[in-house]
Amino acid sequence: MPAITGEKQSGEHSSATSTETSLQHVKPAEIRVFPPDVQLTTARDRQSLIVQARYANGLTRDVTTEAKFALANAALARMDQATLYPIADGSTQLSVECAGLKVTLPVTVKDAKVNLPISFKLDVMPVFMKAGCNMGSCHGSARGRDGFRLSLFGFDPDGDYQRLTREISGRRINLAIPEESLIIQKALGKVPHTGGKRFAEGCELYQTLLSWLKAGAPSDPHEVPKVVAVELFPNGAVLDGKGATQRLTVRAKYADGTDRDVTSLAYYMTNNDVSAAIAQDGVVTAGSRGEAFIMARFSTYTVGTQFIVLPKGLKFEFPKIVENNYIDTHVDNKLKKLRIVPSPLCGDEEFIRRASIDITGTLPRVEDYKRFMQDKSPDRRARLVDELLSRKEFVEIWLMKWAELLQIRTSVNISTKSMLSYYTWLQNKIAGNVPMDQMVQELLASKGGTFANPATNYYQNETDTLKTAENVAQVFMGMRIQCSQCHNHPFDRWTMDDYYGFAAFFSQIGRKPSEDPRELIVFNSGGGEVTQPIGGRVMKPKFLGGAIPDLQGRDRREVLAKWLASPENPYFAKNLANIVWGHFFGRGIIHEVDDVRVSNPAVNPELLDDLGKKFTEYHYDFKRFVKDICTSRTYQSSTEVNPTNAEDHRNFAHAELRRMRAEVMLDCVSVATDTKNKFPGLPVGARAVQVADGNTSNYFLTTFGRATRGTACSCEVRVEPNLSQALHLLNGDTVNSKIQEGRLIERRLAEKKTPQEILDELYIRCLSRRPTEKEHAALNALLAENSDKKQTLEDTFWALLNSREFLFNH
Amino acid sequence: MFVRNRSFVLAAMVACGMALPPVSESTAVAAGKSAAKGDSKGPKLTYDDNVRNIFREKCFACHNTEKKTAGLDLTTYSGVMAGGGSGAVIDAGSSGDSYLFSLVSHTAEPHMPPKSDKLPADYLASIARWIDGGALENKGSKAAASKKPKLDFALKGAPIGRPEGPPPMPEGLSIEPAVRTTRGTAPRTVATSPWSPLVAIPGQKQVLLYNTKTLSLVGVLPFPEGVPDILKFSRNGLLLLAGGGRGAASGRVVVWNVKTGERMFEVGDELDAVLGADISADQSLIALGGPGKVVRVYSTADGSLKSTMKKHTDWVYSVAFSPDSVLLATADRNGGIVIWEAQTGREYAVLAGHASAVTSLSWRIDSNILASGSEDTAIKLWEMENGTQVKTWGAHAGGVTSVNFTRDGRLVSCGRDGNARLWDQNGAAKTGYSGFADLPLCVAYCDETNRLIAGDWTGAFRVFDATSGKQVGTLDANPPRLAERLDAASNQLAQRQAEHKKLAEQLAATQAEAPKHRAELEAAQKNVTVAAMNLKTATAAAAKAKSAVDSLSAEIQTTTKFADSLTAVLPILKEAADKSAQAAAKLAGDKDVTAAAEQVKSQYAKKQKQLDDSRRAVVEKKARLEKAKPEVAAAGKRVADSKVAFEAAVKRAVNPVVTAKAALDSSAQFLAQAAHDVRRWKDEIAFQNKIAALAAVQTKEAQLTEAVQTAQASCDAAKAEIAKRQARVAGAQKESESAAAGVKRAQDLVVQLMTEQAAALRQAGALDALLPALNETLGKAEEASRRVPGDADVTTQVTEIKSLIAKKMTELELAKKTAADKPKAIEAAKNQIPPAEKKLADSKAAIEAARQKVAEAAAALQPLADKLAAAKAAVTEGSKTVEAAKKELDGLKPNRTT
Repeated sequence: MPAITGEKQSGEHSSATSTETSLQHVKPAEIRVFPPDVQLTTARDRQSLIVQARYANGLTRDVTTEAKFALANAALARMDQATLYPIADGSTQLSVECAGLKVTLPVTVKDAKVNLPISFKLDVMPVFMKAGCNMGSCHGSARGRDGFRLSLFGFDPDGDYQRLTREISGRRINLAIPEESLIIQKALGKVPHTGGKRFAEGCELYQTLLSWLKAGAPSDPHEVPKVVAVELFPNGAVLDGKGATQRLTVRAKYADGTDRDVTSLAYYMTNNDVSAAIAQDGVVTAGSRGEAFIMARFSTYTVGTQFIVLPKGLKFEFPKIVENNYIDTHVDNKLKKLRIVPSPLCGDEEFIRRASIDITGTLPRVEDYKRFMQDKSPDRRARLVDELLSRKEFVEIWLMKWAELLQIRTSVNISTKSMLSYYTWLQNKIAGNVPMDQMVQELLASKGGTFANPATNYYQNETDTLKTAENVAQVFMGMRIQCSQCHNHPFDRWTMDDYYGFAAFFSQIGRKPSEDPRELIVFNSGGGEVTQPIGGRVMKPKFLGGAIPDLQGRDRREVLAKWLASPENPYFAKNLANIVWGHFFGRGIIHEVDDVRVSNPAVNPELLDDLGKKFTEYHYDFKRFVKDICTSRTYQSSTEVNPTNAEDHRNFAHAELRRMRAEVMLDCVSVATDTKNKFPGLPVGARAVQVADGNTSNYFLTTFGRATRGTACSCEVRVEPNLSQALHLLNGDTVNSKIQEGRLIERRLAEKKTPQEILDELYIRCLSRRPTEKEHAALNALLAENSDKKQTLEDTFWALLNSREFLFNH
Repeated sequence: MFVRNRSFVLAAMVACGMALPPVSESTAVAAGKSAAKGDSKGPKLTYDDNVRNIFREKCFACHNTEKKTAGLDLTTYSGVMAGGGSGAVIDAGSSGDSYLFSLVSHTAEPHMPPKSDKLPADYLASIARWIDGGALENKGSKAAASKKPKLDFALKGAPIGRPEGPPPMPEGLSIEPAVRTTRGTAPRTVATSPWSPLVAIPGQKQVLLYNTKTLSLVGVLPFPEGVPDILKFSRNGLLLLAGGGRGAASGRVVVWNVKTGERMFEVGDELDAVLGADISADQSLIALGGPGKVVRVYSTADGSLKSTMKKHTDWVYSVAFSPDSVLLATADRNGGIVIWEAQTGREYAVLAGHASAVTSLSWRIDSNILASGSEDTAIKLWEMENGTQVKTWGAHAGGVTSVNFTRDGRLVSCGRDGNARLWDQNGAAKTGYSGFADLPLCVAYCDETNRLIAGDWTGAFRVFDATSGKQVGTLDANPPRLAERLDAASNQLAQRQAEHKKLAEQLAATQAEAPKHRAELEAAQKNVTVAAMNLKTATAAAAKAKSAVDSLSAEIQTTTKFADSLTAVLPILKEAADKSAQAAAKLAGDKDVTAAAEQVKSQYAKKQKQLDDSRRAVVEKKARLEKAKPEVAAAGKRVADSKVAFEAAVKRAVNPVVTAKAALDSSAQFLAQAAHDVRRWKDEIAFQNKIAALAAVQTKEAQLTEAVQTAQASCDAAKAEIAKRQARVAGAQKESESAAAGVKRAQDLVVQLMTEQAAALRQAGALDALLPALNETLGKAEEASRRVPGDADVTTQVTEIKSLIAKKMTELELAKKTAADKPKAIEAAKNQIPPAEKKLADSKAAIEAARQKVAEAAAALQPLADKLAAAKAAVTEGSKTVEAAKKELDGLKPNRTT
């Protein structure tokens, strides 16, 4: 990472001149000033302001340097280069004028004459973060670096204070001659330092560190106010062409109601350096076309905002498109911002295949295909969706997905009986269309024997308190909180307190054996606490991202379950909606679906919000919800791309090619070849999606990446194609054997079907379409020159089953 | 490196062109010709003198012998030239082709040093010049100069008992601090002298020596290398060792003579501060270690590295030689302790047991037990026979920061629990020492004064009485400058003087008013007499009352006791009386019985009466006692009252003059003290100035000596030049002689040739003349032969004559030819003469010129000789000045009132 020089980037605006020439003659639609209000508290405080112009075409421009600032009462504060400094106590107004537009914002000054002493936690700790000292690759690593350790991103300020001042007393800091302290000398690069030079002499970070040392390196005499929120401004920007810049300003809010401009102390990151690079002084520079999530980290908070970069002077018109429902509205809104034209609707043949595979996990039958193709009514697709949703295969697909999430499998601890009863319990819930919230609540609060109340299997599967908490967060809230077991989450808002507070809900699960050794009884033990390893505090159960509930005399898990599967939990419905969405699009709105974090934002938050809201409104009715998705225009778009959306794979501007997952593929091969499978514990002819036990598999399923359900991670299911899959299809004992086993050609020939008819059927069976003219001609030629019709047709069948068109849902 | 003597350093400075004294011009010209090319670019840079320091500052951290990043070791010349993993890095003669230079000058990736600014331009220029100048190692002479044994510092045998002579104490060391800061900082070490009341504490870039008895500062040893991280006295107390440096930059060990403050050795060239170091008791070895994880042992004899121990897996924190110099113990931040054979550097034992950093090691004086203190809270004792742990105890919660054996085998330690403690060897705490402002970090025990000195995180040093645990004073690790002290003392003096003046005025005023108050005073004194009398009377009365009460109580006790004894006896007497009465009644008339009965009865009656009496007496006495008791109380009160009255009277009767006088007297004492302080600091400053002056004149003297050496060298060079030129004259003379010989040779040749020509002509003439005669003779002989055919003799004669004629013809031919050839040769020989003559003339001129040059050189010698003489005189003068300064300094020593 680059060193912080403390100097302003020179010529930061020269590169943007061209932008200004094009936009500066256009009157903006509005100007916005950030932050929306200014509070200056104590003499050292200040607030940098940024002014952003928004144009009618959606573009934005940083006009801070052009804006004119005027204070109603200039005696209270002083303005220097768009930064306000306090002079005297009072309240006034700041008016900002630019391009004939005017905005006023309130300014309050308090304790202007009070100069607070340097605080270790408030002032010095941010230095280590900004200078990169406590990063994971440096002194923030678990064992430190070159003999000196800091807590990762400063999660343990007390420990850092101790290590810095007293671990090797007399070495790291020198109070007699502070300038010669090792920590200063190293950071300045004046003595050899593996991390190189971190900041320059005289810069703000240096001054802070030095004045703390000059004051005798005091610890904070009492609790300092905690940061409660961090705000990053502006809220999004659409930059016009390479080289355009946009300044950021970051403000931290503290528990005591004060705030502070931490623009120079925040650590900046971007998830797309090519489109929007960010310098450590908080200036974003546009690169090539694309979108980027710009993030700022301060204290334990990481906040982000979306930046879009468009080619300069891009001409664009969004086509007139019929929007089927709210999903299309949100998707199209995003596409308009990005200047992307969505692909047109897919054909009926594509649709019936796509919907059948996605909704029922199987290929459309020949008769279904024919009936649908003959249907000319305008609502035929919606009716097809309805029909597919009413089939039991739909339930089975979701049963399988839930079985993965709940890790239904046999193990040393879990007998087949337990597993089966657990599966049956889940089947009853899903088939009975029990609302998800109800099911999850029942699951998490479950008590009793694993035979008597199979939901308790959830707690037999994972007996570790912390892991249980991690699984619950990952499955039901889509969050991977594992990191915060040992340190505050580096890329998210979760602190160790949050982690152990959440884990505390699972600290009172009692487990005892039953008469049957295979059965375990899960009960509420009413005792047991979780302690935070730093400081050894006993943690009160606290909802992840929520309140500390009153647990007096209540079962902790019941309280949690009630909150978790309720609209109070902002993550639950959205997470489920995202999982469903991911199933139908091959990619979540947040991707991966169980990796929700600040630094991995939703590509379309409005869409996700609305989906979550609808799901809740529908009372978690899967069928209604899936119908919304499948009848949307977005779901029905073609995989064909146009120049504007060819590169985009995130915003659902076109349908993606998706390899069928292992179980579905096996079922489809079986359906196409008219053969049956046998799985342990299931009758002959059962489908692969019906396999209850995660441990049951066969070579085909394993090769194509069936989940073993060993963990709750969505990465268990693998759909990436690989060589062994291709070879297995070509030479393995699945495709060829099944063609032989199903004797379809033989039977059709016996039925006196013409080879053309048989070819048609094969195409419809495998690809849900008839052969094209070209294919027809080629195959007829082949049939004509080869006397063994059966052989030729079987070869064609084999070829179809090996074709990418078969293997992928498109 | 060994301490360089000062003149050597100066020589080096002079050699580098600094303040080069003017040399006679002819020498300069002669020398300048060969160096002219080099001069235009300045002297050639070398690895040892110029480049190594740059590498040291910027590159050694990664490219050193231990770490060798990318296989490159820049710490030695051979390492630099060997190059790294990617091949050679220096192309001597061409900086542009040198990989190293392209990286440091940022013309190629990866830029070096990584993640840092480019090296300063002058550094780069130096490196480039060094490479372009052929990448020399050193100046040739330097390699020979180093590693020569200078002095054998080793002691024969390593005494552990008290050394002979007075305890070594600083004599005449400056107490002016080298650095004065606004605040102290955490000290890592403190050391006490084994045989003197002396303690060394670390300051900023200096070591402070305090007298443990008087707690006064007795010396400051500057340590510009950085902060001392370790201080140790040698076993005999004569030397003080300090190790330290600048973190992550440089580390070094310095050893001073405690008495004189002279620097004896400087060893080590570490890339980080030295954290642990020690000097062996025989003073032959110095061991050191630090964050480099390596322990190095140097010889004090020549400063050479004797052994390098690479075993520790973490920073070396502590290094200690056994008092018998046989073993060396080293400890690290990971809890490891290793024992080595001191002389060979071979591993002797590994002491495993500590779970966390070992902060401190200390040997018992007999070398059999090693104590170690660790952050794992334990102090452990190890025996050295098998290297096993013999004792361990949790000494300080949170970790032990320092542990030290006392001379008598007890231990002192301090730790993160905020206390220092004294222990016996069984780990039983004897005394605790507390009251630190922050973590105590280092502790030492002074065997001479039974005091304990401990420093804490704030930089404060406290001195405790080891037995009572009471703090007896503090030591300042950041003492004020002498000027500040003088200012403070002067202020104090002024204040005292003002106070004194005020008191004197008060006394005068009081004395002036004395007559006016005399009557009052007399009355008051009278009152005192009366009050004293009253007090006396009251006291006597009280005593009397008390004694009366006491005697009454005693009487009551006695009487009660008597009554009690009677009470016990009476029933028996009564029974006897009753029985004897009954017997008398039965034997009425028996006189004896009756008499006996009577006697018994009377006896009984008597006792009864006695009992009654004593009971009555008790009652009566008790009543009296009751009456007397309040009297005692009243008497007591009277005594108290009269005492108060007396004291009040005394107070009133005090003579204000006397009071004022007493105040003035005590003020005078303070005043004297203040004046004394002022004098003392003035003396100290004078002393300090003298020390500085001495140092200055010593430097001057060294410079003068240097000048003498330079002048001598110039003189010698000039003399050599003269000799050389004289030799040249001799050469020229020789050449001239040979030229003269050449001329003569040429002339002789001409003469000879001409003679030969003449001879040849002569011979030809004779032959010419002879030939007709011979022909005639032949003709005659032939005639004869014709006439006498067949006469053998005649025929023979004819033949002979023919052959003779042929011979003579040939001779004639030859002579003619010779005569014809000669003029050419003569011409040639003649031609040789002028060049030979010219050569002769030239050589004569050369002799003249060479003679001239000799004369010039001889003339040049004179000023040089004069200069030398002057310089020598100056040195003599300088030595005198030094002597004088020394004498002056010595003269001041007794004045110092430390």
